[in-house]
Amino acid sequence: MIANLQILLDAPALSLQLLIDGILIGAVFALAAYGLALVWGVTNVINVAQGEFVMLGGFITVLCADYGLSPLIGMPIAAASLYVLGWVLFQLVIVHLVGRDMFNSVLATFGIAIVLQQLMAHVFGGADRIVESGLGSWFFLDGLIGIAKVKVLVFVACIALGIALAIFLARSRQGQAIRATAQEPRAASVLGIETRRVYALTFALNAAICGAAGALAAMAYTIHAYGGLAYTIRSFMIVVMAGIGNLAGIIWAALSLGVAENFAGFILGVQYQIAFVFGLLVVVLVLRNWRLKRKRLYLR
Amino acid sequence: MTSLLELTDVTKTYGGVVANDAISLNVQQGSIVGLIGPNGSGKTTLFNAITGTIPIDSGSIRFKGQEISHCLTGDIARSGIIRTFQQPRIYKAMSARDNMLLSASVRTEPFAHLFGRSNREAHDRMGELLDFVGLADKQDELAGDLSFGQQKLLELAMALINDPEMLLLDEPTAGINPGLVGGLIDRLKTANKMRGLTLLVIEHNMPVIMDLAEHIYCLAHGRLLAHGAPDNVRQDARVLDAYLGAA
Repeated sequence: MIANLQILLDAPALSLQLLIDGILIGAVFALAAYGLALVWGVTNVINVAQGEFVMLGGFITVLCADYGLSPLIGMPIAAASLYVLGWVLFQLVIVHLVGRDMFNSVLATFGIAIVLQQLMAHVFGGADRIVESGLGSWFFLDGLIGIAKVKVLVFVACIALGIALAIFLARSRQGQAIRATAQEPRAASVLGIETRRVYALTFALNAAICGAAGALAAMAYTIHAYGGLAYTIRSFMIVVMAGIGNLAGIIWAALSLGVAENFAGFILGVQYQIAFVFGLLVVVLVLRNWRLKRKRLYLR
Repeated sequence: MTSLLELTDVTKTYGGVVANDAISLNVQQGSIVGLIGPNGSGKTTLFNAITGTIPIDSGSIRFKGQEISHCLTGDIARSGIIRTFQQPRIYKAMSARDNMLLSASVRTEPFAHLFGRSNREAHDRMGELLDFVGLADKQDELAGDLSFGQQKLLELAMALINDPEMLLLDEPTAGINPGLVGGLIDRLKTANKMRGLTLLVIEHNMPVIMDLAEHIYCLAHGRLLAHGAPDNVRQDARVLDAYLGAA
């Protein structure tokens, strides 16, 4: 670990490389976390299957690529497929969790996550998968810094999807209904908004966002049938750090996590990269609890 | 006048507590009906039952001749019954204008706002109603920044924007500056006369409800105690007992 730190100090270009890579993957984390925050804020359901939705979106894109379709065509197919899956899962499972204790939603969506993991492992196998883009890389500083073009494409696509989603929520009738239901579900229903439909739309929309995020992840990074949990933990941590409804905070937290994770992977070793994420979650929760306790003492 | 809302033997219990015990009432189209009773008498429960927020145990709720006791809240709202709450339930993080347009959007063109073709009719109606409740100059303010009384007026305007046939008002004057109460009552009477709006009003302010309503129902301990013209209800010994606690 010390030796790796020394390398970073001796080679600033490497730090810059890790920083850029972290920011680029952070955009994928932000997209998945935005979806989680949306569902959490509107339905009060914590979707533990968030990462599995991301992985499934990635596998659908891989499948499309296997049939000769461009990943850019695979992405809308993945998003649409996940939208349908989200809608069905809402009607079968999630509808019974809205308005109930949050622990019920954690347990039920954990069950969904396990079923999806096993199905993906059965259908797509247990190996890492990626969609080859063949786009190549840009090199800077005499080749010391390399940026894969596909990662930049994924980054831009994530930003574009995030902006489109924000515009949808702010301007469209359905988006406003989602925001209204999140703020005052009872008022929304007595004024004629079909809140159950809004909840279903929100959950399906989140699944579609995950599908798109998974498709983008499959283009630039690897996906795995059991890789969903890490995305769920990342999304959860980002939302806990940023707060529900704080889009700027989510983007900032996601990019920071991407950078921190990349540096941790280099310093501690790649085998500890995910362990670092899990450890960081514990630290964030402890810190948050400590801050809340201080606030309660102050108020008292 | 024809019957617009008809409740027959509506019963709702919570565990061993009977919140509504075989309540029957009738609201004629175009009328203003008062619903009074001490705290805990079951008035708000009855509103919740009519609007489909809670399921009833037995009885019948008919609106325009159709049974609505098993309908979803949103469907009941779209059929023409809108309610307000004791504590105003508005979208506090949105402007007064957005509160109004969102309430209107139930009947506006999908994605109209997305493509900049905001529904002109809804905009016109919003301006007219905010003017009607005296909030025309507050439309750009965050709803959460308005005073309590202004929030109640905004909630009333939101309820009116879809032209409901019937409005259920839960203590419309509670918490409102006494100087504004007279104006609110005048507005409600105007809406009743000019728009043919039928009103069912829960109110604790006796002078207000006696002035406003043509017919009053009084509940106590979940039961219908008395009903009739305001003067008759005011003098009914059972109503006086319920309010004054006489033996």
